[in-house]
Parts: sequence; C-alpha cells; structure tokens
Amino acid sequence: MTSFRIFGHAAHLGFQDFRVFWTSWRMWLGTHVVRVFTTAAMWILLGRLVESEEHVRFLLIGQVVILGAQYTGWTVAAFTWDRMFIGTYPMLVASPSSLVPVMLGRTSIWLLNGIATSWVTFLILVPVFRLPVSVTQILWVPLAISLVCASSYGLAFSIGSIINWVPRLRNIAHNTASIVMMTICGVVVPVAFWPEWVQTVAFALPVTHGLSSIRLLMADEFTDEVLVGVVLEAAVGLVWLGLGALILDRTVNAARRTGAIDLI
Amino acid sequence: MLLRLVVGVVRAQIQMTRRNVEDLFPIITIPLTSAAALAVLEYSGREDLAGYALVAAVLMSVGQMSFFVGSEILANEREGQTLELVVASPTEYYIPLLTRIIVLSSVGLLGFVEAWILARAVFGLTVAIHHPALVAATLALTILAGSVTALITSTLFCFGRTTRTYQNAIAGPLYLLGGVLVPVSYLPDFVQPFSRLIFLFWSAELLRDALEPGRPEDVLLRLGAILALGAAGGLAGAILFSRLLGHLRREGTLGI
Repeated sequence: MTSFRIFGHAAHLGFQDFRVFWTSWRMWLGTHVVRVFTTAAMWILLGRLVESEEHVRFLLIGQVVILGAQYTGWTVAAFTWDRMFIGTYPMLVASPSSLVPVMLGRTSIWLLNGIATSWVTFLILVPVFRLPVSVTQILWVPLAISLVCASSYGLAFSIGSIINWVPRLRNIAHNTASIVMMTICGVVVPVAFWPEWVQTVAFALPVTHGLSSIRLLMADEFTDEVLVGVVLEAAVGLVWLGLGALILDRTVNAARRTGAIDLI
Repeated sequence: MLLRLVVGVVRAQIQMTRRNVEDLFPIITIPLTSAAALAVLEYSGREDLAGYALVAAVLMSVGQMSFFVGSEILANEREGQTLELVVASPTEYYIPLLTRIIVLSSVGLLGFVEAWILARAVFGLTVAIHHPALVAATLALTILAGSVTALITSTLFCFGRTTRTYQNAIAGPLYLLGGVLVPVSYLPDFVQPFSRLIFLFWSAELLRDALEPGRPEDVLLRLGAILALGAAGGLAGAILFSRLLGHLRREGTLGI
C-alpha cells in the first residue's frame, strides 16, 4: 500500500516536471509535435531520395515507433534531476522506502509522453504521406505502439538506475541508446541487413519485436507472428525493467551502508 | 590589443570546456545518426550518396554547438554571477561572447571527421572530397553565420526554461527546411522558397557539390548567400542583445 502511495506522490511530481517544459497542451502541440513531425519527415524523405516508395512506407512506420521510444527515454534524464538540480536526493536515499516506486512514479510521465508522441506522429504522418490505413489498423497499431513504448521504458529504467550514479552522462547515455535502437532495431532498414551478432543485440533490445508486429499489422497480415512479436516485446521490456529495479535497489542499499549517498 | 583579447578568451573557453566535457557530447552522438542514414543508402544500393550523411552530420553538429551549447554561455554567466565582471570591463561584451561561441561551434567540425570514420569503419565506404577548398570555405562561413545568429538564441535563453522549449522545437524545422540531410527539392514546392532564407540550405547544397567530382557553379554567389544571411541574423541578434544588456544594466539585474 505504502508503495502505491509513494508512486502516486512521485507521479504527481513527475507531472510537475513535465510542466517545466510544456506549460499547456497547446504549447506541447506547437513545439514538441512540430519538432517530432519535422524530424520524422526528414528521415522519411530519405526514402524519396533513394527513389523507393516502399522504403518511404518502411521509414514512416519505423519513425512513428522509434520516436515514442526515444521520448520515453527522457526517463533516463529524469532519474538524475533530484541530484543534479534540486539537492533532494540524499533525503530520498535516507528515507526507509525503496527507491523503485519513487522512480517509477517520478518517470512515468515520460512513458505517457512517449506514447502520446507516437500516437500523434502516427495520426499526422499517415495523411501527410498518404499511407492507406484500415479501421482495424487504426485500432490495433496504437495499442502495439504503446506496448513498444512501455518496453522501451523498461530499458530506460535500467539505464537510468545506472546513470543515477554518473548523472553527467545522462544525455549521452540516452542519446546513444536511442540512436543504436534506431539504427539496428529494424527502424530504418530490416534487422536482417546487419551481421548476425548485431542482430542478436537487436533481439535483446526493445522496439525490434514490437515493431516487426506493427509492420505485419500495417501489411494486413494478422498472423500468429504478430502475437509472437508482441509477447517477445513485452518479455524484453519486463526483463529490462526488472533488471533496472534490481540495480537501483542494490546500489542504493550499498550507498546506505557505506554512507556514500551523494558522493559522485 | 584585440588579438590578445581574442587569444585569451579562446584559451579560457578551452579550459572551461575541458572542465565541462558534457558540452561536447552532442559532437559524439549527433554524427552517430549518420550510421542510420548510411544504412538506408547502402540497403538501397545508393552508396554514391554517402556524402549526404556526412554533410548532415557536420551541419547538425555545428548547429547544435552554436544554437544550443554556445547559446547557453550568457545564461550561465548570469547564473554564475560572472556577467557583471565582464560587462563592467572596458571591452565590448559581444567580443568575448562571440569568440566563445565561435570556439564551441568550431568543435562541431569534429562531427564531419567522426561521420567520415564511421562510414569507412562500419560500411567500408570512403567518401572522397573533390573540392577541399570549397568544403573549408563553406564550413568556415557556416560556423561564422551560426555563431553570430546564435546571438539571438543567447539573448532568448536568458528568459527562462520555456524559451528553451521553443528553441528546441525550432531545430526540427530548421534542419528539414535547410535540407541538411535530404535536398530541399524533395520537399513540397510551396515550402521550397522559405529554405533559401536559411543559411544552412546554402551550406548543405555547397557541401554536397564539393563532394561531387563535377565543377560547382556560382560558388561565390552561394558563399555570399551564407554570409549575407549570417549578417542578417547577426544584426538581429546584436540589436536584441544590446537591448537586453541595456535593460539589465538599467534595472541593475545583470546577475539576477
């Protein structure tokens, strides 16, 4: 029960973090969505550059999904704000609670922002690039997108629990992870394009499995493979999230023992 | 006298950046995106366009360094309570400020080197530079134009967190309309005229031409366009900046 209450308070705080960046949803639409749309458009036009409408479609679906995952990744940076800017981190560590519900709550807003980003990008890019979609796709694809964001949240939580101890590296860690996922997880080229060892890495990362399911959905292939991809995506996300929670608890407890709470 | 000042400021900035290496992280991450672009090009059998990815990498690195990292200098000086000292000194403040932004923007050049190495090491693609002098001239003018235009953003950054949100949002349209990755001719016709008002458009087209074996046309005119647009941005920035500084001096709030 206490954990739920902590989660709730921390989530409220996370919402306030969000309002530091965007004070209203109109501002969010006018700044964030413009940025996201133009970034996606730049990548999609790469398909026109190589004169392949098929690749335009491929890049479009990839961008819709990866942008959600990337913005969910703000979770990594959110892990460090207490200690970098506010100085409240020692108090959190000193309190008797685990830091897991605190951080889950504090960063959950960035998962919601990631999902909203993907949905809006999908709704804008589909008509702009005249991609044919059916009602069934409009119902299922956003759900699958949300799952990919949730699974990416698991990875971001893991990275965040480590970056928590080297906060200066927050942006480079988040950006590098995002770029690696965009490059190898089937966002810009099929995963099979890469050497086998790179494919193995891609299979252990979020996005890869969920995106392949979304591609099948978009191609009107409602097969068992879709389900397999969805299950794998969820499993990958849960493993990363569990790992993150474990690392966070272990490192925080170690710091409690040695008293090295704010010595970074 | 001026030279001594500039050399001193350059040395100071290098020391400050060494203490604050996070400032350089964009130069490590931005060129990495060229791997994704190169993958698309190789997958489609268009390795001949590999130079496009390099051009995007360097322009986005320089852009990031001038419009984001360099533009934080003024806000940081206020926060660190050092603005009063510099403004009170007999030098015009814009000289050390611009010098510092130029130093940071120049570091963005490393983006080109990194992307070139990436293309070579990961994809085995060697991007030939057919007109090195043109590359050098274009990059030098781009850094200059970016740095003076950054006076606008430097000033805006002094107005709190939300201005950064707006500023951040501008990067997307700027790079898309500037055609840094995909040439503007692939954009809808009605937006193309706007691109010509962005100095990055001229930089991108010139750099892509400089990597091709053919003889580039109207070079001086196009370099002049970068210079003119940079001058226009710089003028606007200088007016905004001097008004801000005047306001802060009058109100006695330089460090608040």
